[in-house]
Amino acid sequence: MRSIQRESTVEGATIVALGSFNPAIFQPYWFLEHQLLPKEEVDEADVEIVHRDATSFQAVWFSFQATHQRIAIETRDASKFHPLRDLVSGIFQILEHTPVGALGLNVLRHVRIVDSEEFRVYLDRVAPASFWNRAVPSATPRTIEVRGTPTTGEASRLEIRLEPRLRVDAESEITIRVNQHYPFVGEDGIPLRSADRLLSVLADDWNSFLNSTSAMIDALLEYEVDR
Amino acid sequence: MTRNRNHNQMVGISTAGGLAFRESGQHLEAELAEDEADLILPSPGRLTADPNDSRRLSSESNEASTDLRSAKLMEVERAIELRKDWNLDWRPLRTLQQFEGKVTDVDGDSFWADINDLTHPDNPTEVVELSIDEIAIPDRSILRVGSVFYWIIGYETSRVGTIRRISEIRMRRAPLWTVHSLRRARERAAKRLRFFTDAQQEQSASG
Repeated sequence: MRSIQRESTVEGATIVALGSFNPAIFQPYWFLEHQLLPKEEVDEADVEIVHRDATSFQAVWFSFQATHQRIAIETRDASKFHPLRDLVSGIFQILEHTPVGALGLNVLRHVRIVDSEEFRVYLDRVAPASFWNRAVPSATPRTIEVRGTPTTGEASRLEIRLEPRLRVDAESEITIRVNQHYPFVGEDGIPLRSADRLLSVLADDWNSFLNSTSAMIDALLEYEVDR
Repeated sequence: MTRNRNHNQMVGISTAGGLAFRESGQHLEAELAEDEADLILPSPGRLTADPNDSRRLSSESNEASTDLRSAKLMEVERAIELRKDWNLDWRPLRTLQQFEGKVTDVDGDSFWADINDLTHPDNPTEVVELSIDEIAIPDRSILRVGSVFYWIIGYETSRVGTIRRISEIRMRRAPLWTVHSLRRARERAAKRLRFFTDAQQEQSASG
């Protein structure tokens, strides 16, 4: 197996919680008041909207969006993956009685490819042209989605999406997204009325999720070379 | 499918991570899309909300109209889209190793800590001495014995392709203990203590 040659790599992570939230409370100074962020970062925050129906702002290293049903916090700085987890944990330690019905742990890796010809060979292993060209001339894969069994924790499913962009006259690239989904419902199928499960998953699974995802993405960027 | 009652109607959550809201009478129904897995996936789209766009929610949007015609007009005016993508920079960082550390001693310009390897969790705990200069200025005020921090070592690529080795420390921030949370913790501790002492008494009574 050979690992595809990469020119550059960027990574991001997003934690998404589905439940019943009060978006208006999540203004940046709420994070300062509860010591979840330093004043310097709160002062620099770029607020798009703070409203009873939606809050959306960007801080130095993350973006935050909340609605009544969904909170999503994203970072595009791999050095902040653990602070991201702590930030979400901090929110739900404060709002411990908030009903949370599902949690999504997400990692994204975007890779620029050195050699487009090598990338073509790689793509041919992922989605063989001999199969597709029977039906579609010059077929090129754009999105490949796979659902599997999570390798860590109590997650219900794991989804991986590959988005390759093969270009002859410009840099080729591929984006790989991994989503691990945790449903938090009781035996009666009703979402749980607290954030306890979310907090335990973030404490127990986050690091193993990051490590297993990283290994998984590395493996997906390897391909078999012709003998 | 999840439903909530409130005052507005959320007509859809984009599977691309964007959000759309629409006012509809006096009730709110929130609906998640059929496949919640799509909702969980973030998306770096390229749409950005225009701050001057009349579709944005205004502070007056809470008013509910009893007139059907005007309510329908408001449906259009009050639909908004939040940003699907931020100007948040992608940091071209290749992490070599990450540690989680716990401060055991602070002495002048340096501090001691026990560190655990997050990249290779099977590695044993190590003891290190680090300079306070390594810590970001906003974080220095929360450095004390017992503080937890993350130490990241990696390679960062600049826009022109220069690669530099980086070492960054960021202190962990946890929420303040409130009077309420302390009272609840005391109540929980008392309850557990009662559980064990009652069990012990029952055991000695039966024995």
